[in-house]
Amino acid sequence: MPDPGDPKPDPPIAPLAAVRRIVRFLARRPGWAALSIGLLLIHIGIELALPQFVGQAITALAAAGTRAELGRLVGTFLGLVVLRAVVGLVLGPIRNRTAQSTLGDIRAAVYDALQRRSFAWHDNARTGELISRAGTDVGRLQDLFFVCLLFGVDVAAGLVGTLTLIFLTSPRLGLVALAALVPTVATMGWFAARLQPRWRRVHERHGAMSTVIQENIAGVRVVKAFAREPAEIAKFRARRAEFLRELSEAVNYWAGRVPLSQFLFGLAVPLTLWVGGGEVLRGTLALGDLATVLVYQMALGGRIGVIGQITNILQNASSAAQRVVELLDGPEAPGARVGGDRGESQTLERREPIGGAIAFEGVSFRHTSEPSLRVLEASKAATPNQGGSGGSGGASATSGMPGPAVRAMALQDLTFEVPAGASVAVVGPTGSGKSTLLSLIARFHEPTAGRIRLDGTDLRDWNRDTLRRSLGMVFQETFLFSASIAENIALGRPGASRAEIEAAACAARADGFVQELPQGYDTIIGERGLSLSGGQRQRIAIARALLIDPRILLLDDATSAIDPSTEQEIREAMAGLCRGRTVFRVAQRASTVRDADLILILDGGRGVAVGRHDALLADCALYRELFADAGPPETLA
Amino acid sequence: MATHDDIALDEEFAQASLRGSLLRRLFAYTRPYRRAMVTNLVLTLLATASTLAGPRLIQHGIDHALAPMLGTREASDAAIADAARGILFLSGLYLGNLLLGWALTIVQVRTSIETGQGAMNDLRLAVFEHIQRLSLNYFDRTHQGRIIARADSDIDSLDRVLTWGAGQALSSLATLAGVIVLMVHYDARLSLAVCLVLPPLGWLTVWFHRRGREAYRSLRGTQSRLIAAMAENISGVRVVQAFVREAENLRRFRSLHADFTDRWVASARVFHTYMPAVGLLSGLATAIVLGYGGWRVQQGALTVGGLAAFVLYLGLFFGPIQAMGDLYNALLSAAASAERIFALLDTEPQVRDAAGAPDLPRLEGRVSFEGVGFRYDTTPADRWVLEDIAFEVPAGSTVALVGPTGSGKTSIISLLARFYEPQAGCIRIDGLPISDHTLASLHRQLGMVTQENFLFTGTVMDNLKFGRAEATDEEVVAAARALGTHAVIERLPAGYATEIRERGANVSAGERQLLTITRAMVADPRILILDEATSAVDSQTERVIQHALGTLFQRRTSLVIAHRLSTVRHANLILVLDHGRIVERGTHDSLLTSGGLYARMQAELVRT
Repeated sequence: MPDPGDPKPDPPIAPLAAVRRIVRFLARRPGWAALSIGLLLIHIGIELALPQFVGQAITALAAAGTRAELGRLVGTFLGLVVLRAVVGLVLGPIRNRTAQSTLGDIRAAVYDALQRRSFAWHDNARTGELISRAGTDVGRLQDLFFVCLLFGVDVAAGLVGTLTLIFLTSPRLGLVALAALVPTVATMGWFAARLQPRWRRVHERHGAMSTVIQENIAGVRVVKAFAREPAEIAKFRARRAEFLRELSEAVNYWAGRVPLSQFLFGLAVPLTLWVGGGEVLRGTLALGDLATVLVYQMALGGRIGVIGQITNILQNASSAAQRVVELLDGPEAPGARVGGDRGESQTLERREPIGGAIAFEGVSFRHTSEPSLRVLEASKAATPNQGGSGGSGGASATSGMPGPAVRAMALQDLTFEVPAGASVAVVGPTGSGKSTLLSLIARFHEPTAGRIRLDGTDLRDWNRDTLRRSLGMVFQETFLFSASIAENIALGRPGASRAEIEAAACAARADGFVQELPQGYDTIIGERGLSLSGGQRQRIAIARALLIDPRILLLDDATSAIDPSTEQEIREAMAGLCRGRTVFRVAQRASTVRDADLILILDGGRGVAVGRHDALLADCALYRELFADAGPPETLA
Repeated sequence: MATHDDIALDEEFAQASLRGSLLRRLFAYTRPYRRAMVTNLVLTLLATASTLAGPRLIQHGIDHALAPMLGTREASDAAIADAARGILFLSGLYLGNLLLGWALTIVQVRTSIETGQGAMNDLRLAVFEHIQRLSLNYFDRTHQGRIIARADSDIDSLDRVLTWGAGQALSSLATLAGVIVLMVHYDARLSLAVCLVLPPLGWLTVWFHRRGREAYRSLRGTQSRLIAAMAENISGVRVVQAFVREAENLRRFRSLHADFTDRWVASARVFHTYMPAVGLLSGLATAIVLGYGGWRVQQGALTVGGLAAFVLYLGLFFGPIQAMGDLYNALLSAAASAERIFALLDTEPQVRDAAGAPDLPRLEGRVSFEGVGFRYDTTPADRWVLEDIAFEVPAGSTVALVGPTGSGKTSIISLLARFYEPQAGCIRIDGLPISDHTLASLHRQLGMVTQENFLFTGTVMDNLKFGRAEATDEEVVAAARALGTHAVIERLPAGYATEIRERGANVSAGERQLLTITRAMVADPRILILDEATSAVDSQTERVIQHALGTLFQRRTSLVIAHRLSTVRHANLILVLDHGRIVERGTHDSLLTSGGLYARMQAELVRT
């Protein structure tokens, strides 16, 4: 394991390599990609051919050509116009489907990579940052695909094609076009690169201003209680002034420079007029060809205008690609894929039904504090301000980790044995390692030293999914997905019938409140649906665990304020759940502890004592302290 | 059931009818920038003229310098030199025209932004200031995200209209009018023929905007579901792995994405029908110019240069129509935003100072509730949140409020802070009814520690001075020392200079509690209102918090929503609330012996 005190990060993937990785996803749909680009090239070809007919018509008219000749030219022109419309009509949906399906592959790859990461990795990553990375950065790749790959092909092919055609018409006019084009593109790239940090600062200032608004409204009670309204207005005014200052800085820079590029490009027309006019006069160029070149020049203007934009998007997208590739390439959780973990082949993994006897043998564990994400956002401000519309509101998940200090051992040299079917109460002060112990049994984390045996076999030699399908877990906080109650209960067994789900809910004492809801089991809950109370959520979690009929139960129940009658119901539900299974339960209250077959007392990661209630009351000082504070057992409801 | 996302989506896509009064009120905010705006509009007309001049110059060059030479195969050198001079002169003119356009663009951009951003920021400030005046009842009934949107994204969405709207509208109209006038000048019949494409183009543009919005709306709905699914799987990753849901969730995500892709393509199809169709119409117009116009040239009714100018003017013909369609659409959305912004500005605060209300004098802190009855705006009319609440607290004592969730504890402290006005009864401090005095003088003598322990971005020191900006650093440190929180603050990465991230994300729950307690101590209020946090902290921190609270309660009247056994044990008076009434009152010991609700609730107060 790397020493956390010595930051030696792997070099992050180079931007270009990252972009190549991302673009390679297109290769999964070679036919569609080829079709898109082929049609696009045809479209550009027609586009470039059209001015030729305009020029020929003018030449014909100037030379007093026949009406039939004119008619033929116009007829061909019209035919090409119709063909262009048809190609455009077909091309649009095809290229959109190609790009968006490829993005779907990338999104799914990121989604899957993230859900296979180890708990340790997720512990050290900030949820909010992950969510924004998975959302915003993949969104920026969307720009990469649409603007650069398709639009970029358009601009590049258009530029090269137009220039070639002008050269073919008249080499001197080609040189004129090139002479105008090169400084235009150069200055545009130059200005775009210098403008980007300025716009980023504007966004930053805008973000700072928005932060004042958001905090002011979120903290409205504090603001009012301390009579801070005037100070808040002053703060807002100051932020607003900073924003306006940055904005006018950027605008002045823009206004002072970018129109220069447009001017430089505009020079092509009078130069063409002058040089081309001379050629026409000398008889080396047809009048219509001069007109063709002028039309080409004007069409180029439209393509040139987006070059600065493309430069910006490429820059943003390449850093986004770096961050996305980092998400794709991170370490997988132990056992996330069959086989490989300890070098054994898949066939050696134990998959038979689990009995439930657990033994800890000298188990120690230390959380790593290596940050999970290294490629940092160049600037948060590059994220456009989304307002409240996304509504993902990750604000609730603030249980985040403390600073990246060197972590102490969370568990140290723990040894004990539990027979199948026994119930264990894990007891100890906050931070003593109770939840960590449970997470080791579920193989969310791997011991740093020592080993855990299940039915006599090292946990690592069990198939991970077999293990987890035999585990029922109730966490401190019940995570509900934005789905119906039935789907939430059937989380571990998506194929469960409605009758089975209802039976589990009844046993968990959840049926009562569910039936009272307007849509019953079909009520949508979670972030985007109805929010349930703490007690209700917990009963959903118990129903979830019951439905998979686990051999081992890991209960890390919440202690947050739940009113006494709910508390009673939950206790009854828990009792039903525990019968006949191996149970590890983090216990806060004396009543639950007393009934356990075995009590395990932790303090600072060490096992202080193991035994039954009466024995521990007699000889364990910490146990007495923990359960004496709440008053004598009689007053505990 | 409408979720918050649906509401946000509705807002995003709302379009208001263009009432004159609404637009007048909106554009009134540009009045301070009238000079910039007028300058901008004048320059816009000049710039339009400059753009229109380009093809006219080219026509002139073709007809007067080039075409005459083409007829005469063997032109004299002098004639060629003469024509070349003419060409050079015209190129020079064209160059001058370009220079003019360059200068105009620079000033146009500056004046546009000055007008638009000036107006937007004045409006933003007005909204922010008004939000400071609003009472809590508004914040209760309005979702936080929506209030933020009023001062933030709603105003941003006015950008298009306030900054560029007037200039674009004028430029589009002038260009279109100018192009038509010039075309008619060259050849009225040909112009009429070209204008045949205008009605279908207009119809197409209307169709595009209507269908485009519908498709985009349905796309946005799916998109936010997609992002939510991603976010949810990340937040819930531990549950996903615990229940071995990886494969199933990936399958669902893929099918959600397939749905998204379909809608994306449907939405793109609208655009990719419109653009080829516009291309078809513009090609048709060019064909008319070449065919019918060519015939007219052969007839001698039009010059070759005129025909070339026609082709070039066609290029300027389609842009303005598309721009106007765009602008009209933007105007409808901006009107909807403006309507919501003005609705906020027109909301009157519920709690206001009575006319000529005096300040409260320096308070001793004797608090009394006399027959107070209260309901929120959102409470059903037949129910009370608080009913007949009466109690009296001597100055300097500590009162603990306990009771089940929803029993009215928070409402009592909110009424004392005069966040709301009670419907019945009277609240007095030192015998003075608080509703007869100014709100500011009450809040200046009040300190508050809330459940969420809200911190602002800025340094720890800034946060601690929040309640008393004029406090010196020494005073802050002295307060922290007195509370025993100094050591904890010193342990933060940069001590008192540590930058707090948004919502205190970089300090632990326990540290947040300690910081807000210290913040209240620095403010040194006469009356302290405290809503104890329920989040679990380790035992070490818990001891520091208890000690700090004990110190904070000294020398001031304290009203506490208590979750700690230590707090209720030391309270001078405990009020037990149930369903909005005080059901028991007394000290910890007396209430335990009487064996009522309080005694039964003891199990909840396990944290010492």
